Amino acid sequence: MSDQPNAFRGEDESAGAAAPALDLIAAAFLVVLGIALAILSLRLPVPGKVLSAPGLLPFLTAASLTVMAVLLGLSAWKRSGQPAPASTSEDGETGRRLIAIAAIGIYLVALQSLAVEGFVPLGGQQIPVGGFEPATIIFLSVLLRLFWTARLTPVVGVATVWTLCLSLAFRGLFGIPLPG
Amino acid sequence: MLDAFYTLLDPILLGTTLLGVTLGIVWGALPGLSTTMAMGLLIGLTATMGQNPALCFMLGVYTGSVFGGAISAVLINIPGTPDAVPTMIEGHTLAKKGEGGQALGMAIGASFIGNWVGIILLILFIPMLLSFALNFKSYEMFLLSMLGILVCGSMAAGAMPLKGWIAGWLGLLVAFVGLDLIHGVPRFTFGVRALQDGFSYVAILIGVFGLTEILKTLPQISSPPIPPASGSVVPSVGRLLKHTGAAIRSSVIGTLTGAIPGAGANVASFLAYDIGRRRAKPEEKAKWGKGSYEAIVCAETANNANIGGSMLPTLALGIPGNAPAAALIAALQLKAVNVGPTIEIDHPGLIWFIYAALIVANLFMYGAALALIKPCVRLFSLPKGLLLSLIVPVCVLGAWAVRLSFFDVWTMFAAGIAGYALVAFRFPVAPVVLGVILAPLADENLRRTLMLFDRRGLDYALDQWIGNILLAGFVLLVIEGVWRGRRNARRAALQG
Repeated sequence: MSDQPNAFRGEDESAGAAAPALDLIAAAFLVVLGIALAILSLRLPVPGKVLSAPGLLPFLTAASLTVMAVLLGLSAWKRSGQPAPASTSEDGETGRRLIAIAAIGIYLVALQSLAVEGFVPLGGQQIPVGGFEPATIIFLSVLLRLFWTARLTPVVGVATVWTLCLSLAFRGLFGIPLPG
Repeated sequence: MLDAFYTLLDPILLGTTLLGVTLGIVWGALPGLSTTMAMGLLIGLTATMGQNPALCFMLGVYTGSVFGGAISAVLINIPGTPDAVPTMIEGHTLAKKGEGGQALGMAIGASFIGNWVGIILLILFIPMLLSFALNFKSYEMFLLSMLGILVCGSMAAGAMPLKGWIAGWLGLLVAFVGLDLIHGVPRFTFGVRALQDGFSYVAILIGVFGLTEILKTLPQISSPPIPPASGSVVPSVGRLLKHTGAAIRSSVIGTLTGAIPGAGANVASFLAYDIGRRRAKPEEKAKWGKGSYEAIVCAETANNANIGGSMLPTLALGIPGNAPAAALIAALQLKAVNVGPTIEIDHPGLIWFIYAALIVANLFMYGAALALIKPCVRLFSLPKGLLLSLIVPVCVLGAWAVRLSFFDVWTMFAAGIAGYALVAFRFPVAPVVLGVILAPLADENLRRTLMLFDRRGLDYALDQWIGNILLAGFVLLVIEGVWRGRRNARRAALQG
């Protein structure tokens, strides 16, 4: 966030010019994407007149995206001698972020592959339990261990309590079946 | 209106409104969790609710979370939501002087007033806008949807509108995936059956606003500061009355800003804060930046009045006034409610119900804010690593709950990673969601327009004065955005 309240730079303050190299990479990617989608749009079948073709707006959008990407690239090229805007990332952040992405990806694979359903008797009631509960407790324990604290008892305790809360709220209160 | 209030007296509806307001305040108060994130993630909870409870819940979350941002801004100098930055600058200075409770009390009172003005202006202006919007045909609707994306891009990336537009265009392209609406031709599906239904906009919304934020913030190591004792938070009526003029002016600014697609509470609070400083009396101006109650009133009335304002284009035109309103449209579409010029014909009485729900949510906000500030203070000591980790399964369940489809969960995951990539390259993400939501409207109406113009000729096209004014506005906005981007680039070069 800006320290100067008057220096408003838009609804999303972090948006704007990036380092010229980053903007050049983005522009190159967008040009390729724009051209590819424009070609794919032109290849779409045209059941009626061209004016009602399914690929009409996709083509116009992809073509104008390519033009905007070229403009972005040119502006980055002009700025190439200037200092890059300060990065807010700290050392090691990227590594931790990749670990988080991998952990979430593995969690989703586990949720999709686990098809377990059972009932746990609790206070005379049969509480439904599926693959969601064990997968989420393990996933949350790993994430909390990585990003919160190394102590195992609070990690597993919080993961278990939160998973049960979600399970009860979604299954019991809102009647939504859970994945897994 | 009385019928709407009578309907709202149902204990279930009152309960869901209160639940929404409470969740919204707590969510908004937690540093790093924005209003948009709250609206996006909690859509999943409304999947099995009826239309009225879902509306009450979402409007409660919206009203509560916009105010909630002020709590952490004043007490720990971290804005709970981006629009609370001006409140943070003034309020935290007052908190350090031991006046945190009074600063928060002022924020509560100002939010309450701001919401009222926003709702009143909404009730006054929506009939005019609706009757005018009934003249809109496919040409106007196409241009309005494209204007919505363009303005959102311009407002989101103020320093470089080009990046906002690119983000909006990417959203459009994502939404083209699936069967086309007129001929049923599969577009960009590459033979994958799951892609024929297209991507779920709710999953994209949760990914872009929820998971992206988690991926951005979770790896950062930071310890939350300990909040000081806040004292009494009951707003002083005398002090509020002293700033009535500033409150009304800022509420009007907030409402008008909200009515511009893409301009949200952030623009509203900064604009009202800046105008308030310029128009303040010399003795009040001297306090600006050093702990001014009037500044808090300006910022908080504006960002709360923005809610009512954002409902104007959302309900009357089907164009979201800001990112949280886009989430509200998504929640309404899940209930088969399509907002737009024919809302009063398609869903008689719905608008009155929304007014009534906003009023009840505002009343609940006032009471819940007073009751929740002390528990919220305790929540601030929760580390981000704990809080954000716990939100990941909520994102998964939110994306899953809408269609009980694991494809949507993967869509949410992909949207989260793509959203983070955009943020890393300094693109705004809100226009992507607007592009996704408005793409079907733009696509269908462009083709209808062209077919109509083809049949009726150029004279007919030139006769469409509303559409032609919108087209001129579109061109002017592009020119202004390009000019603004170049001016900012020149300034940056001179400073560099």
